[in-house]
Amino acid sequence: MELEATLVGRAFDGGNTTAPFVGSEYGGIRRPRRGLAALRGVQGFRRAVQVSVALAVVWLVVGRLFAAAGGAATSPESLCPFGGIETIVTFLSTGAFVPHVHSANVVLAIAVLASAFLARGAFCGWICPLGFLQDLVAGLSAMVQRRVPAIFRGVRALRRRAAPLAVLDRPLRFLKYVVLAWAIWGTAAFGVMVFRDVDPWIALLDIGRESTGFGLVVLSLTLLGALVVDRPWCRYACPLGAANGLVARFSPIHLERSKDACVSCNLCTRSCPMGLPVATATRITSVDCNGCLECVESCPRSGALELRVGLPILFHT
Amino acid sequence: MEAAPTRPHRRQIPPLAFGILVVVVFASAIGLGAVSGLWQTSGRTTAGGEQVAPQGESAAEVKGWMAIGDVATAWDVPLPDLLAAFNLPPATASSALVKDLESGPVLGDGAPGLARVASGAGTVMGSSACFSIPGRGPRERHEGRPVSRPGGPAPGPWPRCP
Repeated sequence: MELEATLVGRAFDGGNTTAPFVGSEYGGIRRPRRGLAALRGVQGFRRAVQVSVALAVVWLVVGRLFAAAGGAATSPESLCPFGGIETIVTFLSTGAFVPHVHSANVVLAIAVLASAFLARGAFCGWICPLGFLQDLVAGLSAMVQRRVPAIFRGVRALRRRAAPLAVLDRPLRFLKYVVLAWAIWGTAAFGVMVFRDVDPWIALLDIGRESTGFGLVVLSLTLLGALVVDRPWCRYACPLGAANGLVARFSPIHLERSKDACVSCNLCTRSCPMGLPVATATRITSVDCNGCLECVESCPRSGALELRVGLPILFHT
Repeated sequence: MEAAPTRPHRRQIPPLAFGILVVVVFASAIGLGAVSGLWQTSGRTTAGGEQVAPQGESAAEVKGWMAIGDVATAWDVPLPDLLAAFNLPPATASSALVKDLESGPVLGDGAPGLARVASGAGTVMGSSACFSIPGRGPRERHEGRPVSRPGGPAPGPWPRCP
């Protein structure tokens, strides 16, 4: 125990130890990576995927802005997977899509749900550009806080004052299921995408052209919220994330924490952008997990947090 | 000799393999959609890149990028009647796009959008050919005219409106 405490202490103090933990069946204590070094390995790959997808979307949106009137440029809205989910009832009952939905929306929806089935909410953590945008804002906020102590103190004070609101975190997470039900029901009932006018993703895609005022307000609130809370849209309001989570219940892949290997440093919980209590769970099967693997990457103990294949949570008693 | 303790690596997935799995599954689904001809990202062209022309067969065909004049021509509904049906100003240009009419500058806030009404009700330019004028009641329903299309069968009488 003493040796372990020493190693943990060195790791957190920035010590450069890679020595295996003597006498343990698990790996050694890793030094947490900081700055650009944190982008090595799987997180670097994840960021590269996010940047590539975001750049592709930006390319299409900018291309449409400069496309000749009446041209057949790609409609950015066709890149919204949720459009394919919204139109599902209408499509099944009439065989037609609601306005603003293209067959690419349906293909994307199938792609997202297939990835949710195999890899839980990994679409949200690895591909979704709106999630990436929130990550960027959060990263920017963290960087500014590190460089400007006054802002750091202000944010810390704000968090302290808002601490009593933490009790709302869990009930508010159910809001996204309400949004999902409203969006699907409303689209089926009214024949139009009722969620489109408040969708921050559509507001972003249509920026400079057809963005609706309320959609831009929601987008602004989301990005402002991301300054102090990681991924606020994903946590509380994203209906696509809700649909993802429902399918993810059937996924055989999950994270497991080994109690024997865990050193209870709590770094995994602190690094989770979805605010999940990873450090106190044994199997991380939350429908909110976006598969970003930040917890695995931040874990100083090799073998303490691992991805496993097993029976989906639905089939566990 | 005592065997060294082994870590419980059974059924473990390396994080990098997980990332590759995510990308491959997502890209494969899109690739399959594209190969199947389902990857259509613009209402103006088909998945094969051909320009879409309104056929006047279903109200669901009405898209935001179409001009109101094209809609009137394709469905063979007189433009003034079409404008009146949706409470649009009679002076509305035939080149006005449906999405512009829908978004408010012509109709004004709170007015029902053309595409919304057309796709939601499906009666104005639907196969029934009945021309229901919102707000005027069923007694003032207007019967459309038979349409002859190039290469199509000779026009017959329209069914009477219910």
